[in-house]
Amino acid sequence: MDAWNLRGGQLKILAQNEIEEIHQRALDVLREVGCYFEHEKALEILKNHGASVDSSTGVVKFPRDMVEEALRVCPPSMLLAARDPKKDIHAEGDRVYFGPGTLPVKVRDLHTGEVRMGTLKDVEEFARLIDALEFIHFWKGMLTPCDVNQKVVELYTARAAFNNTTKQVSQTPFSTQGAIGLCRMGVAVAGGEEAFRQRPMILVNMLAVSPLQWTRENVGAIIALAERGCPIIVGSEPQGGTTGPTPLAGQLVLNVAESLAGITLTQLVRPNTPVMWGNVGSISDMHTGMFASGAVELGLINAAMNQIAKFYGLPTYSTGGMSDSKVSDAQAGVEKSLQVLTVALAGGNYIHDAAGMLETCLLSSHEQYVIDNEMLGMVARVLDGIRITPETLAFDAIREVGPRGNFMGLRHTLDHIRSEHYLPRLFDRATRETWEANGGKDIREVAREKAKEILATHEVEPLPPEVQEELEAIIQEAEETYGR
Amino acid sequence: MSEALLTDLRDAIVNLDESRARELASEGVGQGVDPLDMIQHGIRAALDLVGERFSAGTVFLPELMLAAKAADAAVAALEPELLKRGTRGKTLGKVLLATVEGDLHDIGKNILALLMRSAGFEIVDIGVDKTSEMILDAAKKNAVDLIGLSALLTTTMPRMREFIELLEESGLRDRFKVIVGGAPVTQEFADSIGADGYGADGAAGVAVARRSLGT
Repeated sequence: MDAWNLRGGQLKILAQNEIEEIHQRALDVLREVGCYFEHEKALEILKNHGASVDSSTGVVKFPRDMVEEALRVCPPSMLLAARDPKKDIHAEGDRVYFGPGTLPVKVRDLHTGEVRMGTLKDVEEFARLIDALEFIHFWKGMLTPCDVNQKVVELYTARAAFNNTTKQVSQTPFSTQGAIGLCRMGVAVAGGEEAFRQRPMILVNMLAVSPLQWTRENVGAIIALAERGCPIIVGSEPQGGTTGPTPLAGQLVLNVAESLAGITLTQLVRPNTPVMWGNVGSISDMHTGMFASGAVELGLINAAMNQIAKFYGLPTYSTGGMSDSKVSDAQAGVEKSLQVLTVALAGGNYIHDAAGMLETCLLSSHEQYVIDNEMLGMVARVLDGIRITPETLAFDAIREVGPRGNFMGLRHTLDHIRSEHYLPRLFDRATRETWEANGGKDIREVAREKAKEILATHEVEPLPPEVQEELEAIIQEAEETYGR
Repeated sequence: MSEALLTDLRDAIVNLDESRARELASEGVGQGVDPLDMIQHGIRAALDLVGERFSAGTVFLPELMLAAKAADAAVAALEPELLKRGTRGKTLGKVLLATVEGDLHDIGKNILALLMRSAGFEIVDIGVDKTSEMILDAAKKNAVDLIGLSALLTTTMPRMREFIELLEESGLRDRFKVIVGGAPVTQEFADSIGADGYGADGAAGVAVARRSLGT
C-alpha cells in the first residue's frame, strides 16, 4: 500500500438525481434568499457581474448563470506543494489525504498528563511529531498558541510549522491582514512569486458564518488571496438545529449555497483562482446547542458534500475524525473511526481534523495523534481495496497447498504479506500473557511512549537562513502595523 | 374560575401554543384575574416546568424557545393591564449579553439568552461585534445587574480582559458582575482576567449567573 496514493469514491450516499435536486435548491436559495456580504468591494464586484445587491442590508442575490459560470472556470485540481516534493498533495478526483485539526487551544501535556493552554513550543513539537507519522499527509493549524500576540498568531503558528515539518502547510487566518501575511510566507518559502505560482506553498481557509453570512475579514481575505493566486478553501460549517436546518438534506442545501456564494466571488476577482470546496458541517447537540463534533452525521454530511463537489468538478476540503470525548477513550475511537472511514470512502481529497483532537476540537493530544495515525493506516487499507488478478485470486497457490495443507510455507504468501495486510504500527495483537509480560500497557501509554521517542529522535531540517529572515521580517512587519 | 384559567394558560405554554396563550391571557384580563397571578402561576409556572424537563434531558432547545415565545405572547397581552395597574413582574435580575468586538459568532450567546430568560432573568441582548465602550454604555443605560460576554475566537478573547479593565478605570467594577463564556474560554482564563464567573455551556452559564447575583 502506498500511503501517498490513496483513492476513495467507493461510497455513494446520494443518487445523481438527488445531487441535482440539492444543486437546484441551493441556486434557489442564492437567487431568492441571497447571502449577506459584509464588504463594500465584494458588493461592488458582485453587482458589476450581475448580482442583485441591496446596499442597505448587504444581501446579495445571485442569478443562476453567474454561479454556474463561476463553477465553469474553477480549476478541477489543485497542487499543494510541500517543502519535500515527495509529499506534495494533488487534490483532485478521488485522491485522499489526511491531516490534523485546525484550532485547538489546549494541550494534554505529554509528560505530566495535565490539560493546559497550548504554547508555541507545543506547535513546534506537534509539527515535528506529524512529520514522522506516515498516514498524516499535511499540516493544518494543529494548535493556537496562547503565548504569542493573538493579533498575529497565525503567522507565528505557520512559521513554526514550516520549520518543523516538510509536509504541506495550511493555516487558518483570523483577519484579512493575517491571510495576506500567510500568503507572503508561502511565497517566501516557495522562493518568490513565480516559484509560488508553480509550487504554491500554503493553503489558506475561509469559511462563511452560517446561515448565509460572509463576514468582513473573511471576504477581505478571499479577495486578497484570489488577487494573489493563492489556493483558498472556501466553504461553510452550518450546524444542524442551530445555524442550519435539522434535516441533513436541508443542511446540504445551505452549505452548498454558502460555499457557492464565496466560490463565485473568488472567480469574479480572478478567474481560475485555485479553490477548494470546504465541507465542515455537522449538527448541534439539541440538549445544549453545542457543536457535536463527534456526530456520526458529520461523516454522512461530508460524504454527501464530497459527491456534490465532484458533481461540480472541484477538489474538496473535508472534515472527519473528531470527537467530543475529553480523553483518548473508546468514545474517541468510535467517533473518529466512523467519521474518517465514511468521508475517506466518499473520496474526500483533503480530510482535515482527521487526527489528534479531542474535546470538541479544543484539545490537541500527542498520544491521540499516534493512535489516530494507526486508525488512518487502517482506513487507508480499506481504501486500498481488494485487487483482483490471476495472481491474487491465487488458484495456483490453492492447488499447490490442496486439501488439509497450509499456506505458511509458500513463496506466494511471503510475496503478498506487505501489499495485502496492514501491519499494525501500534496496536497490540499479542496474547494476554505476552501483553502482561510486556508491562500490560494500555494503548494510550504505548502511544505516549512512541510520541516521546519520536520527539527525542526525529529531526526536521529547518528552513534556509535567508527564508527564516524573510519570515521573521513578515512577522515583525505585522507586529508593527496591525499587531498592536 | 381563575384556577382553571391559570391551568389552561400554563398548559398552552407547555404545549407551545402561542395563539392560545395569548387568547387565555386576554381572557384572564377580561375576567379580572390579577395579571401578576397569571405571570406567577400561569406563565412562570409553565416555563419552570419546561425548564425542568429541559434539565432532565426530555425536551430539546427548540421546545424551550417555542415555550418562551408563547410566554412572550401571553405577557404582551397582559402589558396594557400591567401598565394600568402600575405593576411589573419580578425577575431574577437584569442581564446584558454581547459578543465582543471582532467576533460575529452569536449562537452560543443566543442559547444562553434563551436559557436565562426561561430561568427568569430579564435579558438585554445587544448582539455581536460590540466594543467595550458600547457594552458599558448599554449596561449603564439599561441599569443591568450582570454582564455576560461571549467570544468564539482566541483572537477576540483579549477584548474580555479589556472590558474588565475599562470597568475598573471607570470606577464601575463593583456595579456590574461580569461572566464570560465561549468555546475557547476556560475557568483559568476567566480567573486571570478577574471575571466573576465562567460557564462551559448554557446551563452552566445560568447557574453562574444565579450564583453571581445570589439568587
